[in-house]
Amino acid sequence: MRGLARAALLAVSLLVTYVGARAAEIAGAPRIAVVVGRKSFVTDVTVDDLRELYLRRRRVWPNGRRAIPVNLPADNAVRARFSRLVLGRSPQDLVPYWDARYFEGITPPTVLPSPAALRAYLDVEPAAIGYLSASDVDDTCRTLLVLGP
Amino acid sequence: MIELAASRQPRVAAVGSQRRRAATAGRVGVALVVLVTAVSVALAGDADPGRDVGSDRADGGYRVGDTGLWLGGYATVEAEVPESRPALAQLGDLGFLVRWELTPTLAFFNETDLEDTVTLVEHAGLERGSRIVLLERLYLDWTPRPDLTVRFGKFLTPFGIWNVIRRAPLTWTVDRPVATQNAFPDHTTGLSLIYQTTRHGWSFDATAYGQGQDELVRGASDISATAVGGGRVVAGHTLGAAYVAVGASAIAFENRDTDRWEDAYGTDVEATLGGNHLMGEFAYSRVREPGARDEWSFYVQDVVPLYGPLYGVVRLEHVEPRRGRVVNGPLIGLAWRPLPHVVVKADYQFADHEGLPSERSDIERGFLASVTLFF
Repeated sequence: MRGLARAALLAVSLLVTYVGARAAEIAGAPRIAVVVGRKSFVTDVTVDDLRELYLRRRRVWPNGRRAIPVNLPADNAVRARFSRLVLGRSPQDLVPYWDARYFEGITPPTVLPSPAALRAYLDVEPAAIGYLSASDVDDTCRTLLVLGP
Repeated sequence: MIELAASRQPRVAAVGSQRRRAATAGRVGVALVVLVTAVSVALAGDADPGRDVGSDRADGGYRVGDTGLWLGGYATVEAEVPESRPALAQLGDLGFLVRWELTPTLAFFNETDLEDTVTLVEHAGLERGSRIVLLERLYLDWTPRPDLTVRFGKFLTPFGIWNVIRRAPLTWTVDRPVATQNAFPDHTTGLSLIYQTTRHGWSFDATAYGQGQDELVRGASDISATAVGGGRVVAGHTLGAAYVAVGASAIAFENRDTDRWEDAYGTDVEATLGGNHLMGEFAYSRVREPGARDEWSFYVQDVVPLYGPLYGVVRLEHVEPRRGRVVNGPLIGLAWRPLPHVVVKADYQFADHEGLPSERSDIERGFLASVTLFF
């Protein structure tokens, strides 16, 4: 009985530590701005829309134009957080999903190496959509949605 | 003394056979390591981080300028060391993929495979196969609305998880579970409506499909149908840190070989968490014939990340076939992805029966390995 109580105490301690660490992580994480270029025809988007677009299940905008979601590199912290918040999975957990899409000829979203490159691309491609740390947004892009605390 | 010699002889022969088999397995292992090393060196350029610019590492294939044309493919070398028949190494599948986006809402897709090319058989040498060219998929996708796709042509029957991901680079084991093989035709030639959406964090997929003719270019399916009607629904959502998707499938088809209608129903689950990949499927099928036995089967498989790109695989499978013996087929294996486009797999398949050469089971006890390259 005493062993069981110790095990329960240990489990509760671990859970509290985990929840505390996660809360600190979330509180310290930057907000993510979902952005398009100034000339983009896209005026609003929901988190559900983003999941469809970034998993490339939805590949056209309602006006029939090809949708171009843009990612930051797989090891980027903002990308990892966006993936978790919007797609519900880490980039690592999505590898089997993208492997399966490869065999339908559907490739993952385009990757740009930096926030500056992403902003520059959005500025010239009205059908593109991307995300940045809120602190990286400038007047070359338009914010549609802000994710995070 | 004579009796003793007689009784010992088979044991000596068995020991010799086991040693030969171990030596064969060793040679196959060395060959796989050499092949992987060669492929790794040849593709060293692919590991250049600069290549990541513009695409994910999971990306692949070749886009031909701005034409909307995408080309891809894969090749597999397999080795089998079953306990009941000679070992063999073979060039498995050689597949070519083409997707051509004619407009943002209209796309053509084709997969053509070359199978049964060359096989190296223990004690028999090199055997040339019939080099069958199979038309695996040929369809046109039209997207009248962002959430709806109309597919027309020959496609993989969307029943369960495995049938649509059964290519070697997509699976964690060399062989697919038998539980996913015998209940329905692998291919459907006809029309499919695919609806995909996400609402309030729930992802939904609903597919309805039908076939009213013979399979287009037969030969790719073990079961061929003259008429098919079916559907599949999947719902997915995050569950804590995991992502879980649950699906259900149903199909009715007229078997071309027996002219009988058969029905199959299935349910499946898939979950990912921290690199773990859990999947399971259950399928039940019946023939619309008085007195015919029903068939049911299931498998559960978990993939666990071990070290970097090395994964461990455990699978439990149970098959209650319409004819023949009940089979339990546990499997343990390793899957290694040293480069984004190279997959190496080694499995040991167990089975709770002795597979006799004259009475081969769909689940054979033995060692299986493969190296797959997709490009």
